[in-house]
Amino acid sequence: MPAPKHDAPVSLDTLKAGVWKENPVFIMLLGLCPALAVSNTAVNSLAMGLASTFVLLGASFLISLFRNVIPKQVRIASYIIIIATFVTVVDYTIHALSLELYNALGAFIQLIVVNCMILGRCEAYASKHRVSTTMVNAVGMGAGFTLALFLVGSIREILGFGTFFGIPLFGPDFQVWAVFILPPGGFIVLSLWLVLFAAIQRKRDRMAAGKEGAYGS
Amino acid sequence: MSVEPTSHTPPMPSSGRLILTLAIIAMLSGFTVVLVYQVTLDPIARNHREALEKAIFEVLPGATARVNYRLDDGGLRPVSDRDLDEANMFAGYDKEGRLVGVAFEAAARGYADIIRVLYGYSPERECVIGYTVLQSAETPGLGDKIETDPNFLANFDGLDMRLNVEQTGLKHDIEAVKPGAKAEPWQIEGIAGATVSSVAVARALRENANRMLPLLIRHLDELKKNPSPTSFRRMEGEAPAEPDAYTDCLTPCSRLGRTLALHSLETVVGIVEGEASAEPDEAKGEIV
Repeated sequence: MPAPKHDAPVSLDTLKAGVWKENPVFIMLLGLCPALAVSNTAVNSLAMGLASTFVLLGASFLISLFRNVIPKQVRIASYIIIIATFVTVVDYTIHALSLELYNALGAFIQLIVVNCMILGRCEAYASKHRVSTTMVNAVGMGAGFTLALFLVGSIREILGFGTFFGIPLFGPDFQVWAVFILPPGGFIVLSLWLVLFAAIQRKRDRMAAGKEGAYGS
Repeated sequence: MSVEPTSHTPPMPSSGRLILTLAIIAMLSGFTVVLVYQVTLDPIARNHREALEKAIFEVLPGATARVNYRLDDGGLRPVSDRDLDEANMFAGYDKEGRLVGVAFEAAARGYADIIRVLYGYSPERECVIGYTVLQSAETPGLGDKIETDPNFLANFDGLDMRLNVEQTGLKHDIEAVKPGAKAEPWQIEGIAGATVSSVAVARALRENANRMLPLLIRHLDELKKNPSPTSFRRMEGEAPAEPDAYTDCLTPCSRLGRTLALHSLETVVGIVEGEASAEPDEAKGEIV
């Protein structure tokens, strides 16, 4: 991955971590339940990714801000309340913005709350880092999650519906390939991406070992 | 909050502090949720009203005005737009003020969730004259054909809904049959690959028609001579009745409760309470 060097290397790495090296779906295998459930079209994937990112940002911000105030013993309960509140806010907002979008995503918006990526990031990162670092990391994680969902969703939509963003690709005689629309298709496509990412990762590791760490990542 | 940052040091904070922290967080959360609920209440209600209005005119071709009614054993009662949730029947009138038909909302459990449909009934022809899906979470590509499949939609043009002689129910119950097996005007030809969804639609119509049409017959004359259906807002200030069983008006607390319950499902396996235990079981297959 081309990595333009900026003045703030810490922040850039913090941002990049979520997109590639610690991609929540492809590398850390977190948040798979919503990732598999809604990723049957590109639009659904994007909307789910963005909504999750918003919840992640909001929850991370608050948890990082109050990380020294919330006692360790009740932190998980506090995180869950905070996350659930943001999910509810997103739920109402989407409902108010567009009934159509809400009907398409309705049940899945509430499922953001069970996304272990969000609780995981709150527990592993937001509760231990400054607000600024946390937010940069959360943006990266959110982008990584959205990207992963989009990659899975695009393939499933193209193979399942024969469309991309609703635009038909294969003409009117395309027969819906139901397995890719249904949950098994999510597992199949996700596993293919995992194989690809693992292969790339291995190749890069080998190259990095051969060149004695010429690559920064 | 002026508390010492003792959280990272080993000694256990007092229970009072733990309770206080959680209480404050919960209070702030509750405040936020109620605030958002209040702000979004009107836009959400407006969205629903617009969607419903569009659907009503869609299932009652030729209608240009509507009046909302609550029809139950207690009789027929007009409902204002403000209390739209209480209405379970919508009468459509054309420009001359003649009754075009009546739209009913029917619901039944489908494959994924409750399917809510709106159908238009013509008392004159004693059959269905329009059909549309208000809400469904059926599987994309299979179950959602109940909204899009032209062959399936054709079922509802003239679907027979005659009453029996005693006027207590349908003469022939609406039923779903296998694709290609439709022989009678009261049968609905199902969709291959979406049996559960098609059967659910048939059940929704059957149950609703059996309950509502006998009631409707008794009040038909009242509906027909409705004086000025063009102004629906004149009925504001009607006495409220108990809410409709199918209305999906969740309070902010129950919504938060549901999200929390969902969370506990994932994180604290075993400690599941409240609405989570009422989650539907979706183990059945959907293939013919």
